[in-house]
Amino acid sequence: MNDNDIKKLCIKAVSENISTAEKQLFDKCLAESEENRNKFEEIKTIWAATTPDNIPELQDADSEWNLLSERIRLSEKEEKKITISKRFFNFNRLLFTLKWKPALAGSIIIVLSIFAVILFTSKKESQLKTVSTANQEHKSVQLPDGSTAYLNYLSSIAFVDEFDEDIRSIKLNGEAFFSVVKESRPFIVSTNNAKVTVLGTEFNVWARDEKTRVVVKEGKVNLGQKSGKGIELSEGELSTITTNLNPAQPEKVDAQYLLGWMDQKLVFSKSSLDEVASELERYYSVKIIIEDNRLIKKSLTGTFKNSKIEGVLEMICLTMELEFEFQDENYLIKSNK
Amino acid sequence: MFPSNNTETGDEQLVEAIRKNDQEAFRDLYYKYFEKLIRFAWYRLHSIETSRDLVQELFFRVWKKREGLNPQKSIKAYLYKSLNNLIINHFKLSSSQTSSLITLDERKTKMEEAQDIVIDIQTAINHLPEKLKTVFIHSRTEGFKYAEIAEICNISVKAVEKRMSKAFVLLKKYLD
Repeated sequence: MNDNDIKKLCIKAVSENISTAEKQLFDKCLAESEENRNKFEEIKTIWAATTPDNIPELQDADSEWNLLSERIRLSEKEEKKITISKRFFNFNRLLFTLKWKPALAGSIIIVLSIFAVILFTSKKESQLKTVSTANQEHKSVQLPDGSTAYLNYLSSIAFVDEFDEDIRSIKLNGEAFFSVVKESRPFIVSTNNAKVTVLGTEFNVWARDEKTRVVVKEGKVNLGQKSGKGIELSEGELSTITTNLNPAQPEKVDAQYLLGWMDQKLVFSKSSLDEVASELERYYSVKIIIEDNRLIKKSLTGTFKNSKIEGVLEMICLTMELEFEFQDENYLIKSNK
Repeated sequence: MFPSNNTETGDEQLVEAIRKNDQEAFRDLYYKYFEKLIRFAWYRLHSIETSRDLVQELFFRVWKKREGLNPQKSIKAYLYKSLNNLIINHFKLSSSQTSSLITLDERKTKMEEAQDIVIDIQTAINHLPEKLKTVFIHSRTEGFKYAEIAEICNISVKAVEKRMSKAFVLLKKYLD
């Protein structure tokens, strides 16, 4: 039994892949030498160190399935429309290639006008439009009233291509930033468990996981459950609705900053070090002190998607030839020269 | 491409039915695998949100391409492989798994060195080469046995053993 084979047995043992026959062999190996026992200890340590995180509660199967089958249904509806209009186009081409005979002229005109009527009346019917984004895709969507929706990745909105007379209605799943043209018709964004009503304003809606969270950039919005009064949010305010509960008390936030936060990213664009530090303080709820005043001028551009503050600080320090230290509940940043 | 060393019974009939546009069978397939798949995605991505979205994308595409499914081949392996590709794409498109480029105004250094800084064990696992990482995650976090891992990854059990060994070697280095 060479080293490699012994290692494989150790791994099989910790991962519960070891057969009874192998177990006997394994126990023998362990009894044989201290070296083998040490190997096993090492493997056990690694196994213990890699204990998986607890996975949060999953959505239930039924609602996941509903989302999927809805998506499939909508996409098949889209395809049918395309097929029908293709067929119509081909038929039209066929008509025009018929030799023009006076006898036929009359009947052709009748046929054409019937088609024209059908086409005309079907156009009157509003069609449902759905726009969705894929992984890491952003999309800007023009809405029928001139408003725009800017979609984050893996989101979708649905709306009729000609808004109703007395209401502008959008369905949202995922995240989008809305810039709404001011009008007397209310603009309503519906999510799975809430609705946001505005007249004209800029706001961000995040609707996933049984929660709807709204941040207002400009103007005022009304956030409520599907039915019921709801609360009013003004510029710079945030509130969240969880299914079947009332919206939370509005809190004052820095809307611009939180728009990046919704992406689960920390985004810095030519930010000075102290600006970066303030944002890290807010994001991680820590206190950061920059020891050297000259460092404050340094400028950073970057994006972080790291779950630990130490990692982010390490990255920053590495690039800027700084170092950090944790002392008395504060992170100190200083030059390492 | 995928041998039918199926560890699952009934999959062949499901796939056969799905090919013939049977929505009920498709629904059964979904219910059978979606939770496992989301779990797998979660251990790679640490975002329930993204995991759910990718799994939905996965099944959407499966339905779209249902006519091309082969009942003789392991649908389980196909699902995992496709999901893995979606996850890899997701990583490519997002800044990075740990942190991305920092550029100074002075245009000083690139960040490659930073990628060698391992901050925590999750990062260490994330730094494993793709093939080793998948096998390790299947075993450690999902508790799949070697035979199941072999099917999902379309490799032999011996290959699973080898990859596990290599993963341990690398993890040992990171933790030291």
